[in-house]
Amino acid sequence: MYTRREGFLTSASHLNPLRRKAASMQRGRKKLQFGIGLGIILIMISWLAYSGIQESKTYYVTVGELQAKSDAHQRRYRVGGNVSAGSIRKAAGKVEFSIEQDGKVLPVVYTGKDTLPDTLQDGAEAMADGRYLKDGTFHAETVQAKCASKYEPAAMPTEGAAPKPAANWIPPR
Amino acid sequence: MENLGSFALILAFVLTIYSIAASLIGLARRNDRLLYSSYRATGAIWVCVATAMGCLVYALMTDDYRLAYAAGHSNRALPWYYKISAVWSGQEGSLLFWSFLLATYSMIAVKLNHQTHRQMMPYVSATLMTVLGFFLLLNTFVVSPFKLLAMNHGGQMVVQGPLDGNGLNPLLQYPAMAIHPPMLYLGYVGFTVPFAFALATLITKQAGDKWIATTRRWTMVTWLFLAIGILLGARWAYAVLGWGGYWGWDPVENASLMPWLTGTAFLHSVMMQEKRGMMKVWNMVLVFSTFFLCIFGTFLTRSGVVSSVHAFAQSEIGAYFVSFLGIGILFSGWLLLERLDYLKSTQPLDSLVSRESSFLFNNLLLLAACFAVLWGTLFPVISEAVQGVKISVGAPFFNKVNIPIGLLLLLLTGLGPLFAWRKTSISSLKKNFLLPGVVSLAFGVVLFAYGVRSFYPQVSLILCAFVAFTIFIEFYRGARVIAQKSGQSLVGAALTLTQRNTRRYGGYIVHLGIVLMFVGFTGSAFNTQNEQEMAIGDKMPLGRYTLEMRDLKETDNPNYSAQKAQIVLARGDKQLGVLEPERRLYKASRQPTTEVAIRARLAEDVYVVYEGLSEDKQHAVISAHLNPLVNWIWVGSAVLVFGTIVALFPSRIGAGTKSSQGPPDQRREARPQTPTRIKDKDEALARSST
Repeated sequence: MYTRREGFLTSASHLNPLRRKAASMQRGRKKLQFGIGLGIILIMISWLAYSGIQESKTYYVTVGELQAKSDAHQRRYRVGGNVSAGSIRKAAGKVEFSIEQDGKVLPVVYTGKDTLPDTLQDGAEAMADGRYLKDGTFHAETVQAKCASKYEPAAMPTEGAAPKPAANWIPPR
Repeated sequence: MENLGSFALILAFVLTIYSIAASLIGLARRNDRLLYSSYRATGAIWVCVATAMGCLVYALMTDDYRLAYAAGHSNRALPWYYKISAVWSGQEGSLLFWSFLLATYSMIAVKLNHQTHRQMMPYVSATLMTVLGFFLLLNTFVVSPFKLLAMNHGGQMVVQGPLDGNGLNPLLQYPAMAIHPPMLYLGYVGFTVPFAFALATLITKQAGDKWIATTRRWTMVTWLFLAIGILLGARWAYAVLGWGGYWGWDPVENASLMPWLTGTAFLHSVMMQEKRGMMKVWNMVLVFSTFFLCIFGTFLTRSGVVSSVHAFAQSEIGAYFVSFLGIGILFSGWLLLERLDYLKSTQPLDSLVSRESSFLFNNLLLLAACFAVLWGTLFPVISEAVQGVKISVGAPFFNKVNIPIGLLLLLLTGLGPLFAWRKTSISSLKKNFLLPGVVSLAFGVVLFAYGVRSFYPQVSLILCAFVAFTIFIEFYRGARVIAQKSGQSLVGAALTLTQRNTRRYGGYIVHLGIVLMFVGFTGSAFNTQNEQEMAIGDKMPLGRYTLEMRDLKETDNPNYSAQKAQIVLARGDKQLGVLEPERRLYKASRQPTTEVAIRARLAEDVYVVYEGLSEDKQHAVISAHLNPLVNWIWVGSAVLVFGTIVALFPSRIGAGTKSSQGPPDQRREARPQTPTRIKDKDEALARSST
């Protein structure tokens, strides 16, 4: 933007002390106007950001941590794990499955509106966002899944150093 | 083939180092021949990188699965065009593609400018080559696309690939997706050129205006590519992912949006510098941020720091990118502070109600949006560093912050162009805004009567009407002056008007495109959906429509097998057509995908997904969405592209007058430094048309 000295030099008003004072006051007022305008916008945005964060913040935890927590029912969590074999049950408007992580099993109920990702299959890595209910089930609002690692040729020892296929995270919304 | 490719990459890397050294030494010793050879080297580098690209494409086309990359991202049954697109579907290939594009851009930029900008050019070239060198370093030594697969034959490792590849990710087998990455990358990579010019300006201590004029078209072309890339991505998400939306605030979507936001801010604030000599430091900051956000975007997309649709498995390139970004940001920041004295504004800001201040607010809002998106995207990383817990924020955060910012920006889109430079008088405010204001408020009343009563959609649609109307008036007034003078029809006069000042009127067309897109975004407030398990003959209501399940078919081809539901769409008794949503199982990757069926109309889309068989295998689970106005996003996109292309053409001052061909657009180009004291834009129009 501009510096005071420069504005002062470029204008002829410095010849007259009274006008100089008037000009600088006017400039001060303009700056104040801008400051107020910017301030209002920034405060509004910050407030919206704060409330947006409060509304949607999600803590990343492991299945073990979640089940060990005593206050686990108040916050939103994201948990991840592998889908237990044969646990996926689909019905209209509701999908149930469980995920395993380090030997701990967590039953998940998905009641979200959006279509679940195609990659949600037995053994797939899945991440669920939602709330942990007192009955020990996890109510997920969104579920992401990554295609099962058993399809990776890296798991086949005869092939040596084989490539990993691209991981496919699909955000359901 | 793989040897040729690897060798070409190493040679290219060596040549970039040579080119950097040659331009710096040539500069120090004032040796023009050395400088010239450093410029010529960019051509040789292009040849090398292009050869490497050719090798990779060749390997993919000839199904050479000894290459790990080909085996991982292609398969024999894949159609040839998707084999080519496999080049940019994985980490190694896409980074090579980055280098290829940058080598191309560098060669062109050096070729076009080395005669006219002798002083800056060594630095421009060295900067471009440094960035290219970084990517070639990754290509050559870290994530080479030419790695071979070996098999263990009785204790001996033998180079041998599998019989068939793993296949291209089925989600990427969609036309918009085949060209989405190249478009996005053309955008990402292209910002390197304005960045290089800005840096060279600072180093050579020039007044900060030359680079702006030189890189204006570069920036616009790049910005356009980025916009097309983002929109194609949105289109892909809508048509392929099957959740009925087009934007999910996914980290990688955010990564592409951020440089676009700062780039948009840059395109606007550049005008302040050109016309009034203001904002010189700010423009530097914007172009630096845009470039680093592009690099950051590539990093986010390709390193798996944040999990998303695009992220590949965690990889080793993260540390390289972080170092590069760190060094780059520190260096440019230091240089900017060091050279602040050369970037003084020549003009003060005159009034709160002026074109300048509308640009200021526009910039501030775009930056705020960008910062909010950045903050939200990195929230897990930040919270882990600060609090030790990983916390993510979701769509509600992004929407809450960005919807009001978007609406304020939309308002400014309407107001800004009608404010005069320096200061706007009350009378001209009245003249310009009374009619659009009244019309759009009346429109709001009509909407209210028709039942649009929630706050944001109501405001958004009123603003859309307001902006569209102000744009219309701008064209009408200008065209009327010309029509009266030359006797042309109004439409012809509007064309002449646009030709005379392509930048201004092209800009208005872009604004119109944005308005149409906002109409489309607003439509999402009225989305409805329904889901049901359906047997053949079952019916499901969806808004005014009824869906009836007619049949379930199976098909098979070498690439995939599929189940297809046939659903008859009807409104009342009137049958409208048959929708065929599909579920495919791709054979090579053994991955199922959903093929959405969409009946697209300007008023609303009927969007049907076949989710698979129900538990008892007797019913098909069908989910259907009714998405009003969504097509206006794609219409608006087309308008935006068209407007940008118009603005890229040089203005013809004498357009439409038979006698004088007029001097080329130099009058307008040369004038910007002297502030025009025009109080009213009608006066300006009258002047420019005489």
